[in-house]
Amino acid sequence: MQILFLTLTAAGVLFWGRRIPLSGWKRTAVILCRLAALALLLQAIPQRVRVTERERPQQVVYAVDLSNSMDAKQRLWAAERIASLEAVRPRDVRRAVVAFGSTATVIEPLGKEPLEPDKLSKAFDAASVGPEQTDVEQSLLVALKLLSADGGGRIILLSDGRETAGNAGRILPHIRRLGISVYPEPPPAAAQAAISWEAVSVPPVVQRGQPVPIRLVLNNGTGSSTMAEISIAVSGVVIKKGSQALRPGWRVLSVAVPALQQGTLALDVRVRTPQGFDEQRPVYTEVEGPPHVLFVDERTNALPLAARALQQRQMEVSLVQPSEVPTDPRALLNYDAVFLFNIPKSSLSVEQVSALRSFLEDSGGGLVMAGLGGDLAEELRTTAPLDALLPVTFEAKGLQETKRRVCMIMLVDRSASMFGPRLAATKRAAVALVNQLAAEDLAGVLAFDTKAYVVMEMQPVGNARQELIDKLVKLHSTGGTDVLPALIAAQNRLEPLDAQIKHVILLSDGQTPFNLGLYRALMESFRQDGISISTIGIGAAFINEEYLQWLADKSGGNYYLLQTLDDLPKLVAQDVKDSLGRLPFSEGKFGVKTNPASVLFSDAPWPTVGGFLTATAKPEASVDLTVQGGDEQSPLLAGWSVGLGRSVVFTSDADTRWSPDWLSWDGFEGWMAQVVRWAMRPRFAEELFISVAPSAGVPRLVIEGPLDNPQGSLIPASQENARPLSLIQSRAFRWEASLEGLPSGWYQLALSSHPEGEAPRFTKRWLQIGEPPQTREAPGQPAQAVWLRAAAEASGGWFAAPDAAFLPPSTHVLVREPVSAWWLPLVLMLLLAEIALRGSSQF
Amino acid sequence: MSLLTPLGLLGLLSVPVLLWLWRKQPTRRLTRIASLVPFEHLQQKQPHKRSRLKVNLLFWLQLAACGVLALALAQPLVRHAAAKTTLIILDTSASMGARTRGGTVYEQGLRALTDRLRSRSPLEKYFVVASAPVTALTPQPVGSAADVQAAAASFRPQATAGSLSAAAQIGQALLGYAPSSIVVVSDEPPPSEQADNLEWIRVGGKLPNAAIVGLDSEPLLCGQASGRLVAVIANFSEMPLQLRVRAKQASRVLDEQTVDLEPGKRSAVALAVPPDITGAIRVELDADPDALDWDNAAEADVRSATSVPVALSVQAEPVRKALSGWLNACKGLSWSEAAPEDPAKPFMWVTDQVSPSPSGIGSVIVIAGPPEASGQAPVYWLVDNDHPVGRYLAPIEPAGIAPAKTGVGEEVRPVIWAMVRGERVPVVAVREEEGRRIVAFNLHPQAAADSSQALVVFLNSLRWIMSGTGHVASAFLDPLESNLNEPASTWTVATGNAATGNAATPLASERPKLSFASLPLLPWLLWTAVCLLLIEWWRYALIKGRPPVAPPQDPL
Repeated sequence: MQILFLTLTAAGVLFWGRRIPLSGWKRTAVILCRLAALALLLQAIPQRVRVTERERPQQVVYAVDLSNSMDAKQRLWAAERIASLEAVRPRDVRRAVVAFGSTATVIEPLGKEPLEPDKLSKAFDAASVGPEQTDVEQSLLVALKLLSADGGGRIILLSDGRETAGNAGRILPHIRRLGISVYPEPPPAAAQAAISWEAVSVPPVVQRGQPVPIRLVLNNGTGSSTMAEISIAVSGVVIKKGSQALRPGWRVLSVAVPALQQGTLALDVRVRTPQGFDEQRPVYTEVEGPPHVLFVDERTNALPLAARALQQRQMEVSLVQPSEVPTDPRALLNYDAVFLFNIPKSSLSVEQVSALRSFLEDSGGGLVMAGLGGDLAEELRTTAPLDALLPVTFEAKGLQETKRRVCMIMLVDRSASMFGPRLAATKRAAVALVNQLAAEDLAGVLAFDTKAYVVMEMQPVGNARQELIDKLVKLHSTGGTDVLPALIAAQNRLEPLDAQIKHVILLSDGQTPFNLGLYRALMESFRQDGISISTIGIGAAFINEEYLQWLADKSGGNYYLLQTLDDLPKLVAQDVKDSLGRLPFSEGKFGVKTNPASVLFSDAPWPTVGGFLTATAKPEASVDLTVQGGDEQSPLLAGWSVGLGRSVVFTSDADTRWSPDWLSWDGFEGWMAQVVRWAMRPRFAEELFISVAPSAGVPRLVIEGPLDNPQGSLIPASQENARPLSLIQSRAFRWEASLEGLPSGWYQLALSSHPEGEAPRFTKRWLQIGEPPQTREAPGQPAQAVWLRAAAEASGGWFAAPDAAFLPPSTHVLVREPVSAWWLPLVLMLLLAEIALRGSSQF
Repeated sequence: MSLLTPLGLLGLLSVPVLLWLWRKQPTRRLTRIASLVPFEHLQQKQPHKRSRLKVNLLFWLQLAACGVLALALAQPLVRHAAAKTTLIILDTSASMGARTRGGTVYEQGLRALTDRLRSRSPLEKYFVVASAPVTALTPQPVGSAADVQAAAASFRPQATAGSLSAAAQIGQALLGYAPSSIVVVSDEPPPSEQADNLEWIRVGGKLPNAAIVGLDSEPLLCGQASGRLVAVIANFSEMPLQLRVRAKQASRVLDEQTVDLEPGKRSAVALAVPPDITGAIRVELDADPDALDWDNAAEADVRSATSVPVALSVQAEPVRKALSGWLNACKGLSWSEAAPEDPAKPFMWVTDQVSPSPSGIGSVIVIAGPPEASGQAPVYWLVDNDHPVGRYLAPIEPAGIAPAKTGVGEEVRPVIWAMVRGERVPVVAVREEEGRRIVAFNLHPQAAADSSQALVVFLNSLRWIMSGTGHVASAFLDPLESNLNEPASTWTVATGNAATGNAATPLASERPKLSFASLPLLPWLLWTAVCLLLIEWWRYALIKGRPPVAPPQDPL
């Protein structure tokens, strides 16, 4: 566009230039002058700037701390110090004064006149800067505004450096880049010394169960001993409290608290003295412990053997129900692996699976699954969100188990003799029966008097529990007794079933009509059908023991004589157990073989399994163990990587139902621990040295240790935005990252090491960056010389040498001025020259 | 109205010059008669009469042009009420210098900002701040989009990292009050929770980049020199890259390696440096495609020796023996009980002389007086971990060793204090004078012979003194800037004192109810001057019927 304008303008000038009333060289000169003038004007319109360096007198701002931590004597010192510096200030150097507390204000604008201490003291008294806090950051920003007009300048900071608000360290590097340096000078000791808390330290990491040593450095400036009450609190709850003598001078007090739980231990340390000193500070440390496994099981009343095996191998196990699996992936970071033990896939919600996915993918967590719960056929048939995390696809080829185990029917005599507590005990027994069986087993309850009635039809026990309880509540005693119809009804239900165990438990007093021929034929058919009968004599008066005993003997069952009603559930449970003991484990066992491609296990004799879930390994999964059963080899143990983590599935149940041989195997504990360790998050076991070291005024985090391609982030204690670290390798075992602009405070360093071809290793440490933040605004405390010195170094200034701020007395600044400042005078001259050349031709 | 450069009004001096030129010109035509030309010299000159200035339209046009140009030189500003102040933060960190098809990412940002400014309100004013380094690009808020664009175009991305939140904070401080809204132009992702008055203009995108992210050239204190330089390179792209890494000194290529790197991977590349080479070495990286150049080079200083020789000069035998043991603990460290024969070669002293010889690069002065009696109370060290001499120690270390009674001078900087009997006594102090680094060690080595802390501090002191000889660092670009695919966010909410949870105090006072913008009139004046000059030229060309005065011709 500019070129277009230039071209059009030049064309116009040349076109009209042919007609001007001049000739010869004057005409040419005039045309050239006009062209040049217009060209310069058009070039000046875009307002290009020209950067030049100029020397300008230095500018200095006195920033005076008027907070409560500076007593009257120290304020007076500040006024006198400024006056003494004014005496040596070169007259060309301009100065201003900014007072600050919780806010900052200019009490003396930039000028050259020397400052009088009396006037300054009055100005300090009149300044309303909120003395309840010390915000050095505010003072620097206000000073920046004063100095920014021309760029560059010096700030003489007269303060004790006890920052209780803001965070000056964050902006010091930026101030330095603007050419502004800070020259701090601490005040002399306060008129009346008090107790001050100088430092507190805890180790960055401790082991669970070990004491956490906390050391406090206190300075008792009062000159007399006192008692310091130290209390340690976690989440507001005081866990330790005690008093220690605090003698005059610099003292170190030590306290220890136990590290009971893994993870971050956030402690609030509070110190109080009778003199009114009361200050609280947070400290943080990371508690490391053995691997922690979140064990998910529907039954939480006792630990399964698989969980106990992990405990035996020095793993910590937390048992929860499926509904208690966290939905927040951060909550899962307290664990190294999640173990799903025979739970239905469908019992985990979408949110829970999403949390698990994040736990695996992003944090390298582990997921181990053994067996399935609920209705297995239904679980195999339907898909669930969890399927995406598993290395196998379950397929309903049919549960490969060695036949259905058990079908049981309880026959309950509800005749008049069974009224009251006997019936109640019978109901309890029925529930005990159902509890003994697995969800897939079939059970039914028939009541009878002279006829048989269905209390609960034969059905899988998993569906039956609640219905049974509901039906039993309605059962009442009535009528006489005839056992035969009930036995026939039971036989009718058991005979067509294909089960290893078909069993009837008869609860009756045996007072029934007895036709020997009929009963013999019935017993014979029972024998042929493989149905056994156990009898339990229960009744109000006479119990026909002979009958009951005969039934049990003829059918291969047991007869129990009830001593007390309370024994009834136990007898039923005992009988069921005995029946189960007759399972033919020697038959129908599935062999297990090591996959030749397995990296976890070598070929070894493995225990057999009595059942497993049919599945197909996904293409990316690796199969370590296979089952020799069914039509083809099925995976028994398969695993794969999910993001940074791993997922493993054991398709048998690792429990008494299908894997009793495994449970009784000597190598079970080691095998289970090995599987979990393979899946779980790797741990960083080597020692790390972490420190903060300034480099050219910029703080740098230095990590030394055997790391591989480390990645890390700093998470502030307030849990706000984590800051990723850009770790630069500066030596073979040393990495550094810039901490420029990071506010001082407590941070958790989350570090991961990524060795080639291996799973990443994670570790955490807590560290304090910068000087400990002050929480108490009170006079009488010594100056924070370390903080002030660091501020000087970070900004390129000098500590305790404020007169150096006046040297050199001038500075070079870059001035940006528009080029029009040079070209416009030229345009004027060209215009005047042209007019002069025109002469009288203008008339 | 105010004037930025009042001295520019000196341009009004052109007006009297103009007047003088017009008065000087004859208003009547001078007719020369050929036959009288030889006698012109006899003609009596008429006395000059002051006559009235005769002007025409051309004069007024020229006068107006001079006035406008003089006013333009003074750079007038007109203040007008503005209802809204917008703080514009331009990300000028290194990643904005990445090249794309449409220019750099920064140029994309400027175009996006121009589009945004098209929908500006006439009462809106802008204050523009760059983030790296944090600089105000407009001295004060401006109301013109053209000024904003000019200010932004005058700045370029820098080879450094920046902080958007620091730019916002400092920008608000320079503004003097909280702006109505903030516009950020950056390649960083916007914050997940965006305030209502924050507008985020994101530019750039996923771009291929490779970078040098590590350079190991510092030899081990107690190890052997490897004679190699190890550069760590990273592929921040989504495609495999073939990278060429070379080490050069001046124009001489010392070694070159080629590495194939998968996306997101890093690799350490060892570059062989001939044993005779010392001094500054430049490591360069070539990759294609590579959007950012600033992270493709690093400088390192290679020294031939693993460490500087140590000269042990101690008079007291027990002290000498203890220090010998400490020095022997560091394999690869060469030491002797005399200064090297060649004084030109760097070395350092370990001595018990309070005023050591000024030769050498520095000294560890062991003040080996009798220890301060501590009684039964444990002695703790308070350690300044920020200093390299205090590294690897806990901030409060139960050292169990009392300092010597003699103490160190007041002019030094203590790094480690011992707390004994309520007193804080400096144990280890450092100072630098005339380029030499000195560590004062206020411990009796014999008493501290079995102390691991004392040994650590002693070795730290040696390392610190030796590291002062020439720079080892490199001009590294923050790798966070190199990852153009996943830029990290530097926009964090100001949290004030992070540990105490004190909320950040307001950065500025309340915005004044009526704020003003300054509208510079310079562009308008320049355009006016252009128009005036064109019109004047056109009028001048229209002067007809007056043939130019031709010079007289000799009739003969």
